[in-house]
Amino acid sequence: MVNRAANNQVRGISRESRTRETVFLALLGTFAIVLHTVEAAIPSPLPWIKIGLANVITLVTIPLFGGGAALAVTIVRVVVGSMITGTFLGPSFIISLFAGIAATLAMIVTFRYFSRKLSLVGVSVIGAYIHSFVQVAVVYLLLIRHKEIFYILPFFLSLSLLMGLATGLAAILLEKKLADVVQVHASLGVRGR
Amino acid sequence: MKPMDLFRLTTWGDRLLVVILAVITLAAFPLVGAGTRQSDIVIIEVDGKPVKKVSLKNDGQFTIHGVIGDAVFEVKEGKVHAESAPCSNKVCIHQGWTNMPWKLLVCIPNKVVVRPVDAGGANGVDAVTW
Repeated sequence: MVNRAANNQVRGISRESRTRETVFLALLGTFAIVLHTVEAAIPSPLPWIKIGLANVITLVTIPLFGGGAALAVTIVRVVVGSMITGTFLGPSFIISLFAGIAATLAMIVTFRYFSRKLSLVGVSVIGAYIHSFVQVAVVYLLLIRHKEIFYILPFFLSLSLLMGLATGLAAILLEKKLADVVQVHASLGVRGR
Repeated sequence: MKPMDLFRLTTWGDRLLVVILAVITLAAFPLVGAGTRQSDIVIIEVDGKPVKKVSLKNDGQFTIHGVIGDAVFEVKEGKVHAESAPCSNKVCIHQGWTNMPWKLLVCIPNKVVVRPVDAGGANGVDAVTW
């Protein structure tokens, strides 16, 4: 915390801005939980196939508030969201948690090193791929010990590409709107063009 | 907002990444079939109706009375193929050997289909979700 405070001093972010940031993060977390819950109600041919609406929030959090905040939003979203849908600590919760954390880490790294070349669409697609892959890997490790389940990956990944594109575009549009409101983008690096 | 406006939001890096991933993903699709479980039973259908069930565990030949004539199939080392067919184009013979549920031997003029079924049963359940 001391480091963080010092860091904020360097960045010229006042106590007021810190409060702003906290409030905005809480709001983003809430939006993510709502999207997570709404999405659980959307019918799907297979339980693993989802649009990944809640990931839009994680995506905009990365450029606006940084990787740590995005990770926090994801974890809060999966934990609280699964409590609402009644899957907390169940297999789908564990799958969501691992896949969500892995995808968020991948998106943070992608954003940090490739944000000059890639917009949030590219970041989103990378996240979607990692999410699908880790989902199947966790299912393999915890539930179904048959190598055959990996053969479903090409099918899942092609869906990931479409869903990643859609959520990435949504994230760019949302981020454009939010950046003006949040006004903490100073020193936070390049955003998606 | 028009689709073109959405396209303009993306960078060249995005487009390149999407194309590369799409190519890799599509290229991986043929692997899907290669990995499915082998079957050890084939069901033979004539004119849409199952007429015979043959185990692939025992080598041998069997004859099927199709709509236009008799077709001979051979089972060897857990796989089946069409040895002779009464039709003119012999597509089923050229299809070669199979023991995969996704690869059927089909003779359209004779209305004969050889369908390998999944070892766990055609409608076996692999997993249940919560």
